[in-house]
Amino acid sequence: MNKVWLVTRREYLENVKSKLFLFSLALMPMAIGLMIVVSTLFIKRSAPREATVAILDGSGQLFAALEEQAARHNARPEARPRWRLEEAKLEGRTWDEAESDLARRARSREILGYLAIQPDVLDGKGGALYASSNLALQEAPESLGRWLNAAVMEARLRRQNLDPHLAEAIRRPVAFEIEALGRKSGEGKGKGVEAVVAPLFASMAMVMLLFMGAILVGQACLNSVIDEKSSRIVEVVLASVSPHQFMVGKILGMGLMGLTLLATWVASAYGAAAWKGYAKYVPLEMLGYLLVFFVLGFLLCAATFCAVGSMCNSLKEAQNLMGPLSLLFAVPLVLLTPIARDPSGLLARIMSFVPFWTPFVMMSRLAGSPRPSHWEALLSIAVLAAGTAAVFWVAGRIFRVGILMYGQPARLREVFRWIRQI
Amino acid sequence: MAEASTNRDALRLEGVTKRFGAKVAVDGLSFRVPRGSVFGFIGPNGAGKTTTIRMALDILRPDEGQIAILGQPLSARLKDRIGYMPEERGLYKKMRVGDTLRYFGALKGASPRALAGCIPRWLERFDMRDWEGRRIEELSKGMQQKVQFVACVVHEPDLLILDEAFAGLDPINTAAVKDALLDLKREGRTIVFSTHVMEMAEKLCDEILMIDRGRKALEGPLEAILAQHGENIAVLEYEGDGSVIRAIPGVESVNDYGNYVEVKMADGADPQALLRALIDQARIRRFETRRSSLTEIFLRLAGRGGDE
Repeated sequence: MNKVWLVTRREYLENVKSKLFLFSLALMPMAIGLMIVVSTLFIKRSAPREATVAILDGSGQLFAALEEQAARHNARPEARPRWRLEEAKLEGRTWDEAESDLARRARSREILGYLAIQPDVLDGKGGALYASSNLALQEAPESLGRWLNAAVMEARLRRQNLDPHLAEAIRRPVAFEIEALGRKSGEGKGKGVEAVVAPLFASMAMVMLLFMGAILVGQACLNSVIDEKSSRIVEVVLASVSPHQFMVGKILGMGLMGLTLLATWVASAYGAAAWKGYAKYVPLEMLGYLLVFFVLGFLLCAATFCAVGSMCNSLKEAQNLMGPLSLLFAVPLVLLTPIARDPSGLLARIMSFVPFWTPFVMMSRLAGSPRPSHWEALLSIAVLAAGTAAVFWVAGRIFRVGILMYGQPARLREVFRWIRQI
Repeated sequence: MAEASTNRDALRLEGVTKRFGAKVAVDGLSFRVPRGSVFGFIGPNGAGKTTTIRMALDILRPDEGQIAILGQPLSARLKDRIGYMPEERGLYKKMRVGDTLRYFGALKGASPRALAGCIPRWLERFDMRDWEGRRIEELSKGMQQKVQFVACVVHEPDLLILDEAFAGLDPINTAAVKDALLDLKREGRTIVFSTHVMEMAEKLCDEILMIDRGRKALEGPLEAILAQHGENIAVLEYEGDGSVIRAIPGVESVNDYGNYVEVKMADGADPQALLRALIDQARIRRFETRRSSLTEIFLRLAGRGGDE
């Protein structure tokens, strides 16, 4: 046991000191920082402070209403851009002449765009057109479309000589809310789209972290095994410790490194969320699951990669085996959308009991709604633990023989023989 | 009595066989290494030396036969009393010299205290005091070899197994390692020394075991082997007609090297007779007799004849 610890300690300390690790460690905080900076900069920069849209109102009855809506919008402090609506008149020109003049002004960026409302729009026949050379600014057509529809409806109601109060009562929209239900009553998570989407997003981020962490560390295991094998260090080490102790020590050391990495990533992501005021949406109970699934999933992943590494003489050889292996681990990522859409469906349920997929699938399911019950989660953890133990056993047998094999890469039949022999 | 003799052996193999698939790497091999001896384990490449050593270290398991270390069957605890330097050297390139030595020492169960006393002494001995904090990758190949050697002795093993210990060492370091080995021998430690370079085996070893194709080819004290398998050889340098040498009675074969000839005498023939017969026919500048070297015996027994 003491020797396992020695291997673990060396593996951890040497890896944690490596430049690659420090880089990976800094990667996540850097990415988050960059994202915050870029998003704040871009949101502020990309939208102009003020934008002018010309309105060619064929009906002659809508401009005032639109302007009123724009004024209401502009009054909001966070409004960006503020809209300036300019009324375009025919002034003796034909409709087409007027429109092509507006198009010219829009092309020369004198105005952002123009809205041409056909004269018979109130009769329900003509339509409206928004044209701009910058359609990236989606707020313009979105807001104008909404305002126009409201204005048209109001004008039509007025035509029917409806009492304005009655009209207002008819037009009043229904307050429509969304709420994510907790497991028990009184455990609600708040209302609004943010309250629903943010925890889902946070959980998905955790799944991605889990996947990245496991693959990154698994890859590190593979590299380190191949490095030790090709530089013949294994022989010196194996003269002191058993192959099993060596493999276990290595995996534990790498696992601690992975935990360090994951903890730093999660902490920096949480820190960023707290700073931006989203901390309340991070489902903290998920962190417990994250830890359990990371530990088990990582052990499984690492044992697999160690076994594969021990069979290869060089990284190049390993790459051939890495293809199918990555595919195996990536299956849940490909199926993430159907799983997220139906977290208690048959596909999701079956996949959460396949040890290689359990961590990712179960984490996604726990993030979604309806959430699987705790006993189902615990059962999947038990299956995963059993699967991990089995994979460890097989990997240990492959490792023991493979690590000393040089020359021709092993054939599958040979590998099965290694597993069977005592 | 049998118990006592077993205990006197640092390493004992009995009927050990190891197969890799259809290939038999070691075939029913038995031998004993007496404690305190320098034991030469020789044989051509591919003879099964490394496989045998790996079995002695419990890195590989024999298919048949028994192995005892220091009088006891192999166990994890006994492994700590062996020091091993494999033929293919390997150190962690990014690790520092001091950390490397402490790590390998600790893996062998040495206490940090003992290592703190031992490591500086060994570094001193090999003129590497200043290198303790350097990374392995900064060291020259010869330096790395020395670190590797120190790594396998820092835990003060009772049995030292060295596979091609001198490969890649320059003459100065070869001498340093050789002296260190002799000191270890004087301390009563057993050294198993595997090599295909016979000159070194001839200089250092008390006992020799030669294997070929997984089987024992030759075994015994070095002196006895040289006496038994050595041949009568005369080395001659002369001016004049040498063609007559072949005709002289007792001459078995002649090997002409240009500057001198080596004359192999038949068993029991007296080289003095050769000198006497030749003295009238040619001007002799040098005449000496010698026994065959271990290399020659080795080549003859391994059936590869001629030159190397």
